[in-house]
Amino acid sequence: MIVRWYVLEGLAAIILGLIIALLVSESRVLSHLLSDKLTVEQALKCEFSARRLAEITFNPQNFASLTLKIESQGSNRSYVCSEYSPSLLIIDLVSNKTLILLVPCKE
Amino acid sequence: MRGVALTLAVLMMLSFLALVYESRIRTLCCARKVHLLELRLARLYRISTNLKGVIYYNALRLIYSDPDYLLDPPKYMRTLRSAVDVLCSAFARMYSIRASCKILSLKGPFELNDVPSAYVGASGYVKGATCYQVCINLTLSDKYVWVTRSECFLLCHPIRYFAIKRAFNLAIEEAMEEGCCSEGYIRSYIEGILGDVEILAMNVSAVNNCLTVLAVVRDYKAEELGIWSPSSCIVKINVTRCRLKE
Repeated sequence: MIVRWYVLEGLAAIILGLIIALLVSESRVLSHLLSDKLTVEQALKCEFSARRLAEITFNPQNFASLTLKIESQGSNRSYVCSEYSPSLLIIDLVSNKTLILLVPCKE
Repeated sequence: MRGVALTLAVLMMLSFLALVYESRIRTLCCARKVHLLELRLARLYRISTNLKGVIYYNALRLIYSDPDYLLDPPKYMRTLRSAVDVLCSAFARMYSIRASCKILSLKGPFELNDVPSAYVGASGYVKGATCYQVCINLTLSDKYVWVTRSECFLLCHPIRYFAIKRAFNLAIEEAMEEGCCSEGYIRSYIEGILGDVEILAMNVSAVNNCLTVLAVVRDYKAEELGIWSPSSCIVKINVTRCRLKE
């Protein structure tokens, strides 16, 4: 069977197109962008939960227990729970102590 | 001829496919930038909430650490300004941002009277507590985004400074009318009006037609309501009443 030139040309075009499509869709840039987008979304969630925690922590009704927490510790204390951890900085100028709380991010 | 048409059709289809992917990448790039800006904003907003809370905490703590701040607004303002500067620079160092804070106003001291108890800062305090109102303006920036916030805090101490001062005024007036300026008379009068105060020290001096009383008073009612150490519920009272010359 004699293969016509235009059949070969068509096959070559299809293969070339598939290679281009594969390169574009599976490129590192795209996968990086997609994964990065997810990370940013998680980080945003962490920020919002940290802000909520800050609002609760700095309610005057909680100040007395906050002071006890600060004064009862000798050095800075922190909690590490995930790669992206927003922190809360608590400074007591009267007792001259600082507390850094790394806020846990809920997945 | 058919082959050429087929080839062109396939190439066009694939180029369209590539265009679709390209536009998708561009959209994602843009979305990523927006997301990152959103994250920067959320971060700065969280830091500003944190800084605002720390300023509030320390402003109130200062009042409790030294009740003299309650009766001396210029002294309190000076201390508060330097405290705010220290806090802003600490936050700027910690988060590698620019942070500045201005104290817009300091009102008071005034007597807490009819502020709704739901108002943050007033809840937990009864009528008669001594309060300041502080308004601040925060500006935070990380070179890409800026966050500016204005907040007012109600800073209350449970000590009933104005109620105690009124009682002293009445006591001195009574004493002058009775012609009795003794310390014991004023002491018993005050403790009669305000059952839950104790006069720790008192100095009564009469010059011409004026009677001046300097006293150090402990407010037991305030001790029950204080959110920090009860030892700070002591206040100095200085009252002078003059009788008009006949």
